[in-house]
Amino acid sequence: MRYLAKKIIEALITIFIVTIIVFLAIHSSGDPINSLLPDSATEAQRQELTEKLGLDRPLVEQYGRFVKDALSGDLGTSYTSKRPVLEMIAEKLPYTFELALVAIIIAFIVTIIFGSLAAIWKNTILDRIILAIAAFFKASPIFFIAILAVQLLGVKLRVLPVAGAGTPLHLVMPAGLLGLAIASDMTTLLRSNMIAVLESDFIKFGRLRGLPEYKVILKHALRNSFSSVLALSSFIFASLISGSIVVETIFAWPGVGILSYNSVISRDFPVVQGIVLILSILTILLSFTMDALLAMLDPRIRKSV
Amino acid sequence: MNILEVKNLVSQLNTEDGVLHIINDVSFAVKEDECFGIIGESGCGKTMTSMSILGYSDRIGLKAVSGEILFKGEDVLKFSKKRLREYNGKEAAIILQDPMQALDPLFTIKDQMIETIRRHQKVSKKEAEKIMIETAESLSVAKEKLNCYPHQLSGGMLQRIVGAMVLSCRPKLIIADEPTTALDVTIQLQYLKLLKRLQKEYHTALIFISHDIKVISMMCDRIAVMYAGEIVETGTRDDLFYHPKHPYTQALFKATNIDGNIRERYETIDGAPPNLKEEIAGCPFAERCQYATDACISGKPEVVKINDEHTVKCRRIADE
Repeated sequence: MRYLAKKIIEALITIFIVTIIVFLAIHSSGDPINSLLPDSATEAQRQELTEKLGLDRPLVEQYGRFVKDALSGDLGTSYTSKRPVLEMIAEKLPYTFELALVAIIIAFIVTIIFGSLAAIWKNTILDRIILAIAAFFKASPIFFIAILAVQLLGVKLRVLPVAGAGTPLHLVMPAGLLGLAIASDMTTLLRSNMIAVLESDFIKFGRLRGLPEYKVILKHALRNSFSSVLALSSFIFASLISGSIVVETIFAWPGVGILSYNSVISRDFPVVQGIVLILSILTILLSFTMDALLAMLDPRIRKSV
Repeated sequence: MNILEVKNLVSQLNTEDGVLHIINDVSFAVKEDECFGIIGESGCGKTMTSMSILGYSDRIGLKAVSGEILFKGEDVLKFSKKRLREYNGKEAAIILQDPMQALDPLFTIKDQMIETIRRHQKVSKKEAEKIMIETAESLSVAKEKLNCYPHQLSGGMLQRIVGAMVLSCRPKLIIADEPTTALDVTIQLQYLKLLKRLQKEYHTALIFISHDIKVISMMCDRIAVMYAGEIVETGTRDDLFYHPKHPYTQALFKATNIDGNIRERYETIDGAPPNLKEEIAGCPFAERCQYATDACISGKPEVVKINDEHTVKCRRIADE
């Protein structure tokens, strides 16, 4: 429990730092008055709006207001659509969440199956094929693979829809590609962990106790090697979030990714700020979930602080 | 009755650098109920021999070139995978050197013990638990310790638990591969006494592997001395103690302060064991032996029988 408490505090501190970075980044990106008022606005009008928005106040006070507003659900108003930022994000977030969740599930399944197979049959042709495919997904930018997939599965074979959302079939390509992209890192990690675990004494002793091989692999080897994959999941989720922006844009998936792409292009800072804030918090929560999962798997972590 | 007979076993390890001649024509027999010791310096093939007896050699890349390992008359080297899983744990079991590494850190002791018991005996979870507690008690492992994870317990406690796990399936043969090397000196003796007592109580044969002559002579009825993949001398404890014949055995006893008197300095054996990459034409100890002749280097010595139990592989003894 102390472990979880420590992780919660860590997550809160990280979120706090993220809010400061987001706030400062936006603050240093120029005077919003210029974008809010037409060029013909008088000095008095500019003065009035500056005071109204509190931009003449000290930086710390401005930050305090930003946090206070954010906590009460006010992330500002979009420059382009004039709608509340939170509302805009809230209607897109479920799509991104769905995409990310399915991608994670795919990644875990692919990792467990192929990482284990490659480790058990290390240095065989099967292992080399798995490693080669993983290297391909690691080395190629996701948009490149996405375009290949669209050409092959969507245009040539016409088995999958190329864009949009709605049916489970629409999810196959974006979530599949995103899942495979993060699985490539996790698979090679699981493989090398499991090779080391399979050489350890407790596996040898397990076999010499007469345990059937499936039990040695699935119960003892997999669990021991998978915990170290979970421990690195924070890095993996960072690439999941950045990957989802690319994937959503290519497949016209109506999630936060495409919204952030559009807002960056149109310099709609409040929206960008809101998205960065919410995606950061999402990433932090996801890694926290993985830490909790890790604690469930490994008693040594539960007991240590 | 012999429970185990190893006959002319020759095994090689294929490495990237070439073939290593790990076990070279090893023969010995272990009787039911006896404690048989194998002594030798590190790298002489003790552990590789025990892995072969358990049918684990393939997994570590060790290939038996010739010979046989008969367990109750059945050749272990010819066991199917299925037969091997029956054999491991239920008929022949091992206590490894480091108890800290022998158990899965992610599961409780209880989980792993019940898993072992139910693997070999058709019992309910409750009955398995009963067997577990009984066996644990005979090794003075308190019930509460069974709910712990391995990292929460000391090495001595864990080695007793490993012992309990092994004994819970009542194997006919237990190999103890340097079981006390990783333990605190203070509890080594305690563990050895316990092991000896349980071996008598459970009527199992015990193969005790060690590099420590004091420990071996305390534990074992009969002892084999291994050098560079060969058994150079076998005999009862008294045979080897009072009448060691092979120059290596003699040197080994001299190098150890066995009689308890404090000496100014220990004797050492000059030189190093031979390179196992090359097949040795003659006696493996010839290069370090003060009595060696040209014949020793060029040809393998015959096994000489001193008495029913005592055999030695040395040309000098044969010539006498």
